[in-house]
Amino acid sequence: MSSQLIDTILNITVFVYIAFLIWLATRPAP
Amino acid sequence: MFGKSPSPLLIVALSISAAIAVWGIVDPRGLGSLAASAVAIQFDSRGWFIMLEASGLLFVALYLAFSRFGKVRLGPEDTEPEFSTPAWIAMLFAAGMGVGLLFYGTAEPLTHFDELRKFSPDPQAAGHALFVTYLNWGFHAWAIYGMVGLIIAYFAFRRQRTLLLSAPLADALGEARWIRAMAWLFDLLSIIAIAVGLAGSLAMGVFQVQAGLAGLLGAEDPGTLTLPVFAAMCVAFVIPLRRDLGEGMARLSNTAMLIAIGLMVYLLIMGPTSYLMNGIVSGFGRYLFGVLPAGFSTAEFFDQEVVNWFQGWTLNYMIWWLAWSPFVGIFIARISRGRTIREFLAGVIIAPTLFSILWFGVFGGLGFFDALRQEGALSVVNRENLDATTFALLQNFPLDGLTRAATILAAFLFVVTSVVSAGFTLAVIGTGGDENPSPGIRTIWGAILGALGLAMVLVGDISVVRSIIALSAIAFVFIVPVLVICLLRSLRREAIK
Repeated sequence: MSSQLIDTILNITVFVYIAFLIWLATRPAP
Repeated sequence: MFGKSPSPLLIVALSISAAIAVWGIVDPRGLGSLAASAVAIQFDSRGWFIMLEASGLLFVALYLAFSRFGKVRLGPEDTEPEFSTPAWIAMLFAAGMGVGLLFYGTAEPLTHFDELRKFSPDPQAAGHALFVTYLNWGFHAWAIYGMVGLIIAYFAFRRQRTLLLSAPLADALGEARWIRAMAWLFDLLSIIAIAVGLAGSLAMGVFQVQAGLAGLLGAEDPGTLTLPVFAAMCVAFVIPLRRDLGEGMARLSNTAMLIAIGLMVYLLIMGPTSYLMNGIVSGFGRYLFGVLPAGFSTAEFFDQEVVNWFQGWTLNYMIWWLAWSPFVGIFIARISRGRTIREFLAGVIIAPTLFSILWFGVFGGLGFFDALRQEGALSVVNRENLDATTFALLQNFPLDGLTRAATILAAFLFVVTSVVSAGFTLAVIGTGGDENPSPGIRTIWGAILGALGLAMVLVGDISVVRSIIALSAIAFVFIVPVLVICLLRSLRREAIK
């Protein structure tokens, strides 16, 4: 796998993680 | 031996830690090179996120301290703080102290100076070198520790949960199966980060003590002292870990702290005092007014050499603080019951940072004095062997035999008391929050910390040791923001009620 591809994948996981944080912060209380 | 039947968490944590230790002992180079390349990939791709998070934690801490949540007490409303404010501040200083300061006091500012003088005139390079050191050891480091400590303290004392990192998830997000799985994973990863981080500290202590002893004893090859020093440290921490010597350990840790402070005052008075004070005051001002933008720096437009330097130091430090945050966080949480969030954050972030500013101002300032006003012999030592820099500095002052012996003793005590405390913390987390884990389980953790420490010592290179610590803590980059969200959710819910 090229280093450029690894870089892209690692960054996309961070973006997905940020989306997860936003979802976690805004979901209704249990 | 375990007191009761061991939990799956304990078995998995012990197995993974032992596997890393065995790997490191059998093939230290293999472990080191894997860690270095894995960390380099992470830093290249996610460096921006790590810096954003470190700054974000500082801003969240400022928000909490100045908002209405600042008045929330860490415990029931009528709780009084367990320790007086001066005693509490002294304990926070102790939390911030450690073998790292003895090791890097002069070495780090001088290393930055060496790098920066390639790009700018010497006076600016020295000023910037001190600034970068302050950035690495200052508000951001303590915001990371402070936020993790605050989260642990809030959920343990205010919400009556355990001191574990899994506690916030259950309280703020509920008990769904995926949340319980995530909570379990958080505890496991915190155990591994603490174990590897403290083993790195142990290795750093061994390197420091052996360099000092080699100088004192006139040994030509410091490497011959590695195993005896390591063995002495292991004996010194296993005995108190087996027996419960909490009070005695606190006394030894305070002794180490007093030696370190004494050393700093001695050098400030015996050295070029006004030169050092000038450096401290201007460095403090530069730091105070430049720290917020610098916290977002990523060395983005520089060549690879500067990028490597930035990743090897600043980025590595931010990960390093994250690696130790569960360990230091649990300690500062335990001593802060009954404080308000505002008091807690002000104490934890400001007091140790001021101490770091003084410490590096004195030790770094002496390094700059040597490089700019004398022959620069310290820079030569620093380039050849980072471990020996502090001792080479002390040789320039009277009573150097005494001060070098005191430094060796302080390094030894810092490491031994940290490992004892870490062994205890690991046993508490591994047993699901049992505040009095059995001596058997504490000893097993002591042995694993020793084996991990041996692996780190065999790696032999402090920069590779730092990579291994960083790799073990990468997960914390993603754990801490989730915990912060748990805290904010619970605080908001409490305010609505």
